[in-house]
Amino acid sequence: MTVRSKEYHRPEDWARAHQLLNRSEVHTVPLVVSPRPAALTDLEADAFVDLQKLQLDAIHKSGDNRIHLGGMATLQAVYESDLLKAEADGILSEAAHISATLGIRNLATVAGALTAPSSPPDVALALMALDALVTLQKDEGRTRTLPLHEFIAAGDKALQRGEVLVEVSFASAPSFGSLARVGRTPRDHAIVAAAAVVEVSNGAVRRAGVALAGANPLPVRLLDVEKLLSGKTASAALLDQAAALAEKQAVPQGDYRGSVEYRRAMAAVLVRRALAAALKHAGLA
Amino acid sequence: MNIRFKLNGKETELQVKQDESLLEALRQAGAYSVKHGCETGECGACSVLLDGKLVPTCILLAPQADGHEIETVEGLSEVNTIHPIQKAFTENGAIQCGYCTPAMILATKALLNKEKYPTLEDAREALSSTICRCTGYVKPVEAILRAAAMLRGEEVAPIGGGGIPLELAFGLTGESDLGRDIPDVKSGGGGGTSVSVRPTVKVAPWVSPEAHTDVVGRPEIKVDAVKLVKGKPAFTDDINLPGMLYAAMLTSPHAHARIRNIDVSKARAFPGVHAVLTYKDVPRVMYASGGQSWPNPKPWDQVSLDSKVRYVGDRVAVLAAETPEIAREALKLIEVDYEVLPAVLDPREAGKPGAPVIHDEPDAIGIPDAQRNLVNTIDAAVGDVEKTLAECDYVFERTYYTPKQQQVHIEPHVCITYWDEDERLVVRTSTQVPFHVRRMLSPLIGLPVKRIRVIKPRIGGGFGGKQEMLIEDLAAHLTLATNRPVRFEYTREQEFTSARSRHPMYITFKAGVMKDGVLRALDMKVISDTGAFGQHSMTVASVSGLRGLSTYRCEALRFHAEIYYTNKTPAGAFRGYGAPQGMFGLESIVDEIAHELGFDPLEFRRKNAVRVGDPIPISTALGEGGAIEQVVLSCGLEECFDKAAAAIQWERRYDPKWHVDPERPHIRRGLGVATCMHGTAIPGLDMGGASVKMNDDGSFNVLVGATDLGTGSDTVIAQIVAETLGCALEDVIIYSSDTDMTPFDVGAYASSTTFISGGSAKKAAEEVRRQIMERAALMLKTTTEGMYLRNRHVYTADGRAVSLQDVALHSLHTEDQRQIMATASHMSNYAPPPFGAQFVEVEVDMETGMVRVPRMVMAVDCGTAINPVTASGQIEGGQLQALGMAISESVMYDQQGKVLTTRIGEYRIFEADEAPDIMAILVPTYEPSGPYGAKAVAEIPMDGVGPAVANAVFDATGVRVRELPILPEKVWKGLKELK
Repeated sequence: MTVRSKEYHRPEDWARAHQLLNRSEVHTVPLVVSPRPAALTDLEADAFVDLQKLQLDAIHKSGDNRIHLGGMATLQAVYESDLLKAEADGILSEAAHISATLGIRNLATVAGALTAPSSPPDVALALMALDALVTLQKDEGRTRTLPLHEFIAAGDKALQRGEVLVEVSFASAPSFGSLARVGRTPRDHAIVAAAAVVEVSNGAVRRAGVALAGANPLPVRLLDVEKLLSGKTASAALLDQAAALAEKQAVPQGDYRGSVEYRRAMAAVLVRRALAAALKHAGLA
Repeated sequence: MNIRFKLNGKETELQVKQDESLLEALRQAGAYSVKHGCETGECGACSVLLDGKLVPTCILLAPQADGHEIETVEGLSEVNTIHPIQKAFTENGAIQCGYCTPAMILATKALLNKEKYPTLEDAREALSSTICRCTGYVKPVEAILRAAAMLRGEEVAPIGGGGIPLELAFGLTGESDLGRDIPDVKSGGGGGTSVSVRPTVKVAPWVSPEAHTDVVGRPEIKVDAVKLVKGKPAFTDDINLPGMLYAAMLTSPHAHARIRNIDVSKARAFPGVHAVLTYKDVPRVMYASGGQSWPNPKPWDQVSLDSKVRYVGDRVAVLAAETPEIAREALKLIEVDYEVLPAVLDPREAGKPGAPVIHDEPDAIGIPDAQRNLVNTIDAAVGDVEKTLAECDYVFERTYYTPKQQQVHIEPHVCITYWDEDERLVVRTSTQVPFHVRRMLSPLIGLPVKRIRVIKPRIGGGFGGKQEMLIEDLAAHLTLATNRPVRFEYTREQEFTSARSRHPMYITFKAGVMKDGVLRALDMKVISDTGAFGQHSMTVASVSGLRGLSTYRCEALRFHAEIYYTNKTPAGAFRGYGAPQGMFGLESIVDEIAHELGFDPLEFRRKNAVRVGDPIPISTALGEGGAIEQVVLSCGLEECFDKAAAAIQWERRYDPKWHVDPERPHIRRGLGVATCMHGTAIPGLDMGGASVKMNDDGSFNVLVGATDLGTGSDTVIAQIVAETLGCALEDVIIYSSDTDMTPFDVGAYASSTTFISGGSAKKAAEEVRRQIMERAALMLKTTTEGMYLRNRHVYTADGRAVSLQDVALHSLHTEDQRQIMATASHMSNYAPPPFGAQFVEVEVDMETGMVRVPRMVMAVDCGTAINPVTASGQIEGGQLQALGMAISESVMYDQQGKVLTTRIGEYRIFEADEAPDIMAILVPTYEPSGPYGAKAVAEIPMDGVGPAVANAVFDATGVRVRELPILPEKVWKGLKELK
């Protein structure tokens, strides 16, 4: 009986990476750093696959006007990206910045922010509000793409064994956004947080994306609120209705940072605030 | 496997385990500047530049660095050189304990590599991932801007210091004023009022300050700054002994349980394991783990390893193995059969009938009522409280709560034990109390004191958490069991589950006041939660009463404390030591009274606060060192109020427009104030010793027992010696805290070091000065009359001079040879109170209840600031630590007694870019009982922020929060109730 080192691999290509990750006899996971990193000694796996050679860190806009973020793009790259600062008032940059401090942002990745259940929710919220799609790869020929909010809703069952989050993408559009959050200190893991993104045309909301964390067991996209807003002009009454919907759907789990009652109330306050700010940026408020 | 990377420009090849952290690998390779502070990347102390980017290395596997470039501070400078960034940090006083300094230097380098003209925000952002518990980030941020200017080739101003005028200076040639009789102020010694001999400087009336000091009062660079800024191996863990074993501790998963059986056979058989110890293997010796003077205050309710566990995180077993990995694996093989017992977590429930009895062992010593979990009660009174309350126009009664704040020094508890060549046990440990550790360890391991040597290297912060013999006994037991060096270090999680914290307290004040705003009576009751063991509990509760009942003139005072055991991590010493608890209650109720009676809260405080000549009667009733009457001899409180109020613009409080922000309609602004008054050392108890000897070149070795835990006490003591001996600071080589080499000192606690240890150093230096003068008189064939020492020379009354070097050579080699040297010790029956005025500005979100603090200002009268930079550094850093307790910091438990806040991020300490603007103002006075007029500064910054924030929240919203930390929901609930 001895202490066996866990394996470390740095594959040169995807074929090798998937071969390693899909082994059934050795529990193998990709090395992915969350903005709330786990201690190395707490990582439950027998082997690690370092994806640094697979060039998964790009942030770019494609010909079909979609923005693509590689799963291994660091949160610092997200924060610094001029491309992302130009989308929805830079809501995603702000979310990346608030999720972790500089040193951790240099290691934590988009995949880390979206796949670790205890991650700060901000990046997921911003991306859900941006109507993002997530692409997962089990093998070179086996990828699947699904709406991010469905991926988040699946919780710890979202990723199949061996699967890697390779990309998140969303449509680039003239839009306005805002992130509203409450915590003990400004960069505290939000007790409750809401993200809103609006696209407008002819003085009305053309599309709204609204997401909320801290008021349900997992971060959620508020499709009912989005539907309510679609095609409407901004008004205090509309915001009240949106807030009421957010509060009504909330099923919070209370803890020492916020009770059930508080979290439910904050769902309304922060959804309203995020929407109001986004609409104000859009010139509709 | 082998990895290759560039380390500080050099191709490096290392053999590493595939799953070891880059942090471990770099330290094994000798890069000791890379520090362990946590395991989750959140403290940032382990950061390096990886391909130019700042990254924490504890969350990276070593093989991930293969093929990359790594920079550490070891690469920034050579022997005798210093990088401009390091120079800026050194000059600016940005280094306190220095444990996180290498990471800060690298963060600065990464920033300045891409930004030549950084803004304040850039600097804060760059430091955001390096948690600093000492500085409040104020001086490090300034240092970044200074470094940037230096790297741009600009002239930078010399550091001017924090504010004590250099003309405030004393005692160059006079005899020591320490230990002399203090005049009876009350009966006419000084008329009871302060006399201003200079504008802004208040001194006791019988003192005649001299015109000049050369070293004292100057912003000298810390004597340890250069080694710390260069990341030299100066800390406990920065050595690697041949054959060293790694200890690991198994802790209890239950809040309360009896160990029915424990089977360690599999762990013992595990290859690479050298010893596994449980309660069956070590002698059962009762002790109290708090590092305090002999005999340690009771109860003595702990043993090294027990058959009962009393909190989640309590010791179950400890083992030593050849690698940390083997140690961790072997722990999993220990089989424990627990009989789980009911637990009690609330001190208000712990004394009720039917509550589980936490200390049912028959051999505990000195628990007054173990059946009721009652650790101690304290009662003290001055005057007739009931009668006075009955005479008052108004009586107010309120209850407040202060939380279980954790010290979170970035260097965890760490110690290395080994046999030396004389078969004496050496304990190299990160402690504030090396001499107490030696004495307390002796009976536990069965070695006489003379066979134990305790060495304290540099400490990466303590804040009271290391005023404790926390882990040394277990490491020593393992060295005794294996005859091998043993290294034992807590993980960050263990710091939260198995170290110490502030005692949570429920504080009830009843105050009697007259219509004209004169306070007449204060009645204070405390329920204190000491957790599973009682160390420090009586003295901490006592200080809560002492500090809660000293600040305001009252004719009647009463204090009652009850301290209870609970099944939580034991509390202990934490900067402030009961004062932040007592002061939160006092400064909150005073604010409430002022509001109710329609007084300005600042004026109400001025009206009732103590002043020069006032007695501090409660100290006689509560003093740890016996009943010694205390009188205020120096007090700059009025000026503290004036200066800090001006800095925060207190008048805005009365401008309704200022309270609102048209751009952010949900925000309300407010201002709050708190008076601060602390103590300096424990009168009649604290003692420190110092030795001074002269070398051939006129330099001096100074050996002190005092324990610099990052505060700069080595520097301050060296300044006192240099001033007394007329030499430069660099002529003083100071060595501290080694039980074999230095005189005794109680250790670094109770705000005592400058006053007590500095006092002993001054006395020893004065005796050396006397010997130098005698030698000079012999050499110059004159008498010592009128002689003085200055500029490395002895001057005679008739203007002749001889250099200190010539004096030394003459004395050591030429005639009537002798070593010029002296040893002295100092104790004080007087504990002069420093004073302070704390102001904060808040912004409260009226919809969420979230409180943001944009600005804090504290003015402190610490007598003479021996070093204004280190003194202001204490005030800046202390305020931010106190803000943590006000806003976010509290160790939290679930209903089963499991700690929920086991990471730095969850526990929540302010990061550099979240921290407010913090201002420290030094208000100089002269304290006649202190060396060169000094009194304490270390703890007082903890006292006022909590109440000042709560008072500011009230000003902003009308909501009175009586429970810290002020989480958003508490304010939100208050707002709902107002509606």
